Amino acid sequence: MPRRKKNEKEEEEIGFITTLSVPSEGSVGLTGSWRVFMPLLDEEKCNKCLLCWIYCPEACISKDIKINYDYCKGCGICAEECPRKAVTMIKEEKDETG
Amino acid sequence: MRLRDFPEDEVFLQGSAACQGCPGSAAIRVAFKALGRNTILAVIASCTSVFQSPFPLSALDVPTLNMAFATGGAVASGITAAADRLVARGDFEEKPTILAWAGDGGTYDIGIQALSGAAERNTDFIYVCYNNEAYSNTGTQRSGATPYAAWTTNTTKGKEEWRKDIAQIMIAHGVPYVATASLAYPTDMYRKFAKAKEIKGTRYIEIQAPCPPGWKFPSSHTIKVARLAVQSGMWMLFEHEGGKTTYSAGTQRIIQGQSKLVPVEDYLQAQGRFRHLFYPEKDEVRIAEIQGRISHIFETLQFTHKMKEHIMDIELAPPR
Amino acid sequence: MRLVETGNHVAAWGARLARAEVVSAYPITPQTQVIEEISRFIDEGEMDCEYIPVESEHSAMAAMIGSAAMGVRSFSATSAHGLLYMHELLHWAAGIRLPMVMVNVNRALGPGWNIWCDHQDTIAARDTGWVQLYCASHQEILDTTIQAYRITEDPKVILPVMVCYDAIFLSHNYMQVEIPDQEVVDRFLPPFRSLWKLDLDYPLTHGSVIYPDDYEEVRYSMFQGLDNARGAIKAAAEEYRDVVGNYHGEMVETYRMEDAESAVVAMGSIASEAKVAVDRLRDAGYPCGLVRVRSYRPFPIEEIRSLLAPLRAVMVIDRGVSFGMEGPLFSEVKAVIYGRSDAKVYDIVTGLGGRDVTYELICENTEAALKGKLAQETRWPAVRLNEHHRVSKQGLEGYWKKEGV
Repeated sequence: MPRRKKNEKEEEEIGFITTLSVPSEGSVGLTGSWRVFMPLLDEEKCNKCLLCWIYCPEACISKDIKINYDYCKGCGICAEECPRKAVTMIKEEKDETG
Repeated sequence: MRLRDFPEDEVFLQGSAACQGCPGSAAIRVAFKALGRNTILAVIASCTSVFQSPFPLSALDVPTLNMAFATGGAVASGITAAADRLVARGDFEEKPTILAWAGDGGTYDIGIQALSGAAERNTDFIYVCYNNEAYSNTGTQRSGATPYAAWTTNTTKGKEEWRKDIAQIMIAHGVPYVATASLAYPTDMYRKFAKAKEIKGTRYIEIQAPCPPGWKFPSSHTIKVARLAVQSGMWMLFEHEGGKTTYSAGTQRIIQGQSKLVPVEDYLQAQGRFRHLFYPEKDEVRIAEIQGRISHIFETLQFTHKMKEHIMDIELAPPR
Repeated sequence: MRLVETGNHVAAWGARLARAEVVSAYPITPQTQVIEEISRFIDEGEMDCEYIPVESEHSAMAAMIGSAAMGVRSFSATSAHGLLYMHELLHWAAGIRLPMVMVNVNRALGPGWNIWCDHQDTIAARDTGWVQLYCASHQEILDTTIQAYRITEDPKVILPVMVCYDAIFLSHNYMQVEIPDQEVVDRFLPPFRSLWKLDLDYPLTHGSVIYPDDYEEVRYSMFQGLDNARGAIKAAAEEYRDVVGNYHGEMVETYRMEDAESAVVAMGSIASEAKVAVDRLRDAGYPCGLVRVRSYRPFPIEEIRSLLAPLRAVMVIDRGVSFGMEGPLFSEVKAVIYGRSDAKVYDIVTGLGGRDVTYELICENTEAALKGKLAQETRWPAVRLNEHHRVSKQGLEGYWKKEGV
């Protein structure tokens, strides 16, 4: 079978592949790099009402109200929804050289 | 259930491909807090197919099967039949929750046949429609769920038709549980999922999902727009079981007179997709049409509520 | 146990003996008896199985994908328009890399509702990534359905298998079949196995977005899986012969090919008629044989090449057509022997919509070909305008007259 013999090496390397994906944080990388404005929490004002925790679409705010800046995309929902205005969005200074 | 009692466990893993302010991922988070990890998920072609992140990583930490557009009710039927076999064989101690997760296009339009079939068979699963009121994944085209007068890329002057009331269609199937939910009312949504989890048969939950790029509002306003939708009566929160519809959260408060219906203008003006109703000049006719429909519905419900309160306890039609 | 049964009931027996645990199917003539019989088996407690009475074939295949993904042996049955309606999911079922088996009763396509046999439906599903096996008898339907599970669950294959058999000729006619004992089938067919499933203790996500840098390898893996099915089909046929006792050939079945100088090539029940034709041609002095293609996908490349390349002439019978091209089996036979043979290859398209294909027609055309009277192209030797066509044409001409066409 000349046609398949040619591919024998590749067959060894390829084998069974299907479109299975593995659960992981940062599945598209450090999405914190998407951010233009970053949320800053004033812990004095925060009464841990947990609204920001449950509203965060990215699950970036832990239940003890710590923001994970590796992944926070800066959508601003936490600042918008905080009843005590404990979160403010500030323009982020970024090192553009990466 | 209070927020502080919600489980901390996250099935949706941060660092996904979702847009900033995505209502879909926000909805998944609350849903899975109530459903827990003993859940098998079928994701029907929608934004969720994309925002779970591309091969070879996934933001979803539950067994997940992505499926073609028109398959929601059907693929869940296969999964649940197989799960029944595995329970019968003793491979599963407890039958997992089977969850089909689809958008409004996959529910109202291309998927309605499979959904209707599954509902008629009373297939044992939860079907969720997260409704962002358009084909957002393909760039915001009109769907059967797009509201009257809304701009989409193929209704550039505003949609001419009213949206389909699919929750009523599901109620008409006689399924054991139908509910609507809003991102702005997470405890209400949690309660509905937790309740649905304990019911056997077809359960339908629809979550309104305000989409920042599709509806044209800032990403920080997802929850605000969701709340305005309920407060203005554009989105109604209710659950239907045993032949009875019960209104909940913000919608219930309006019906019971504890809060006032917010003018629909406030809701429309918060979104760029209704901009043509206000600029260059205000379209009083179409705004009045929308307000008229809402007012009529709420006046009727408020009247019924008062009747029930003051005159007698009206039992609605008996369950089928 | 010996039964006299329809091909459809025999297919249901195949699913039963293979211990399929989820069946999802939608009724379509001429497949309905398959699901009726399975329902009866279940109702009478003879088959331990969940039957999902879905509302369409699209949903039938979607449900089967769901149940296979849970790690449960799954079965479906369809035909013609049903197969076309699930076409999107035929691709999905192959791409998901899970084992499953479906029987398809080969039926003609509308318009013009025609419930009789031809192969256009499965030919249209040729490139979906499914294994396609074509049967020529009731016994073969039973045996192939059971073998199909061995093939689809072979770790080197893990692609779905479609067992195809001809409408009415096989689906509805009664023939004698030997139903093997369950214990014997169990010895041949181990419990369900697969390479992945939806596992609560080990969550994986299947089928999300995949980028150009990653996609091609997935398709190449499918290509190899279907290539590997050649070995699995042979192994299943051989082991089935050893354990159960029946044998219908492997990738191909041959008849009187040992000393043949020419051959007829066909698929499905036509091959039985072609055997008679081969006998007649031999009586007339032409040393002719028959090659029946059992496995259309994967295509029997080596078998066709070694059997047909040395011959003088080959007559292909196509029970379907590739419009704007020629008979599909004709194309593929030529492609396989290209550059390796001096054989002249001829083709007839016939038997569409259940039209009878007689041994006389096969003899006549093969003889004409062998005498060098035919061109090496697709011909439609049975096409005749009859009274019905004329009545219809007259009606249409009346309309043209009114419209001034």
